Amino acid sequence: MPSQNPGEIPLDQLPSHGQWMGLSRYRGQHEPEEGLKFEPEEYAMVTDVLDCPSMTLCLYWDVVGTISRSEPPPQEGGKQLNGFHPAPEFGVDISFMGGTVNYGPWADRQRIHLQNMFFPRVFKTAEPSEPLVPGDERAYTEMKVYVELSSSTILRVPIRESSKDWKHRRRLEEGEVRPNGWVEIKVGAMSTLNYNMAYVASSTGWTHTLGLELRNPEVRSSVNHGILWEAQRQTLQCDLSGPLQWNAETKWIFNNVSSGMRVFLLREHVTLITDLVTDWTSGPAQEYWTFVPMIYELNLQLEDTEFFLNVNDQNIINNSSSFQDNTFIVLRSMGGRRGYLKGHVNMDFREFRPQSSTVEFSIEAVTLDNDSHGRLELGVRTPTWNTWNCSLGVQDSLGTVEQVKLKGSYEFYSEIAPGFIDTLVLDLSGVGLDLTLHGFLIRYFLTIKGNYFGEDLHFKTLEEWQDQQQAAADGIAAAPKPPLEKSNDLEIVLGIRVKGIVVLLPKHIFTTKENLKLDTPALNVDMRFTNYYMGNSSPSQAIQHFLTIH
Amino acid sequence: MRDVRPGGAQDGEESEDHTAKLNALPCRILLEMKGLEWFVYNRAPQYDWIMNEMAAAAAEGQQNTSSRQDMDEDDGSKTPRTGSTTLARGLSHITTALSPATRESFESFAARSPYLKMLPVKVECNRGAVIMGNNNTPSVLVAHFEKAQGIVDARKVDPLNLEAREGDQYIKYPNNIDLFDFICPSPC
Repeated sequence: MPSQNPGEIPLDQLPSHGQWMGLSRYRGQHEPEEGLKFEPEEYAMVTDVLDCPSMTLCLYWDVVGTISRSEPPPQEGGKQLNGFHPAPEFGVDISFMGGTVNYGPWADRQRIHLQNMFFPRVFKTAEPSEPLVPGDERAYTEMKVYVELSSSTILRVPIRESSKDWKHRRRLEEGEVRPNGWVEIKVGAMSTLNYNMAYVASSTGWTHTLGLELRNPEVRSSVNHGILWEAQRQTLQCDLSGPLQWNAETKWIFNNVSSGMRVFLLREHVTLITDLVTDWTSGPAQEYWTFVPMIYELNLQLEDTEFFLNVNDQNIINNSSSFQDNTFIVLRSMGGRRGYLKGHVNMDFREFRPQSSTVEFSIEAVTLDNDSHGRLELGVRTPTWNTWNCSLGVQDSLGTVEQVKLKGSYEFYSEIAPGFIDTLVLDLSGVGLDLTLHGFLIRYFLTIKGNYFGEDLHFKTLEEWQDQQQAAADGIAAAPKPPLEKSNDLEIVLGIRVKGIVVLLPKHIFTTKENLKLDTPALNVDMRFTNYYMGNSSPSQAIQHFLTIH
Repeated sequence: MRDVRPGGAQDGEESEDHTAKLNALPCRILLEMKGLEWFVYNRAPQYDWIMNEMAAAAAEGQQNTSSRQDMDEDDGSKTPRTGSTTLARGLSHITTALSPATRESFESFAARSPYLKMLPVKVECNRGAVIMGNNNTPSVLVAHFEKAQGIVDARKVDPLNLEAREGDQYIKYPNNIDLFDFICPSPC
């Protein structure tokens, strides 16, 4: 303790002395100022990180014994430095009953500051620990954190939405607060989190693992307060290991296995996720002297997955996950462990402040046996009041494909300049496509383009749409549109190779009893899109066509 | 709560007022706290260790093992260090005073250790707060609870590791008060 300055107030005369202050010591000083006119920079700041009615915490540690003199001494260092016997354990088990966790990019930035204060990083190469000799005290090799979540625990991620900044670039009304975006994750009982942190270095480096096992996760978002995805089970195994050399190439691997997943994706979800990534990665740029080259690898295994793409006209959506309310194009893979979707994303950040970065990705449908059950299917889900539903019934499976693989890479520049062109390369290959091509299916494909890439990016409720129409009829100026964002040119190189295509064109509108069958052994298409040019080459084999009557 | 020895309170020589209450308690010692405030604002051993490492790096080649040994003395094995760099301690240099009989029974170890003799200890805390951070961090982490109770106890796990466990710190918040709270000392 430093000696007391003469000007300092003695401890017992401080206003708080002898009185329990707790949280109130810090509360109340930083309430938003009266009449704040502009949004604060950190408007997505939620200071209550965890609010929980009760929790159980079990902290445990082994009192270490010594290495036996009667047994052969440990041979290896690192994690095995204690020899054959399991290492002494040390860890903490936490279980929550209910409660809300608010943990977003802002809270994470505070975590980094605190962590750097309590656990300062040392940029120094480590040495693997040596095996202990008999008589030594045994050593802890890892810390284990185990968290059990109850069914009513809610994790909420508050997000700053940079994509909506243009809407808020004006003086705020008195007392008006800019709402933040959020993603909310709710999980079922018995969901757990496991974190193991190595205390000793092995010759391969530091081993850190994080495991998440979620039962019945439900993810909602501020886009429409509806479900973005739900699943029966989702596990995420992360390998966050680091090498001995502090600035050596570090590869973090994330393995995700989901089953029974249903995704209701809208274009605005993509925007929200982009904003989340932008917010999370915002902050001071990395210094050259502390730069660590990183590679992130994400592996996905999606079993029994259904993707629902909304194809409502004009993107009018009242209840985004209701089958009685919406028309969906469905991509489905219901083969369980025998046929699933496998995805892979590789993000390479090995270069210090690179001019451009590349993300490689691939997704393929894996079928382990040859029955048609596990194939990737394309279908349409229409509400019962829809004309097509009335006459054709449920069109759950309009097309199947035996094998399909999409491989691609996206190279993007970190700056915006006329000479920089972002490049997206997509290679789609498939075998055995079988498609019943109704006229409405073509229209729905065009609606996908409108709702996800084109003019109706922002969904609206029916009421909003009616108001818009009314306003347009009354000649009232429409709401301000987002300004055009400056961005680099995008070049898309698309290659499609499909073998064995059978397309059925129904002869009648309301029945599929008679079809025109188009059969081609192979289809190769190469396309290149830029802002100024579109190239296309599609040498195609002879198409056989004949009428079939079922 | 588990492994709580009944009848431990008989050894108690506490005041008459609490006798009835203590008889109902299964532990030798009851630690009762009210209005606990714990300020965590530094981690000096970690910084000392960095200074040692830096000094060792500066004097590379001359005596690069001595600094580590210095570190091992005050650090001990019960507070393992975390962080992003080496934690490898030169444990092979330590020769402990423990007897070579490693398969010492838990009971005899417990009988010898004054610390384990005291256990189980019951801890009760009414209103408490833990404040982590200091002037150099942009925010302070505050954990705040209304009522917490727990038992510190030891039990046997395996012949080599004689385990002490601080078990089941049960924290309860009838008033639904925030547990963790980041507070910004200066508005950001």
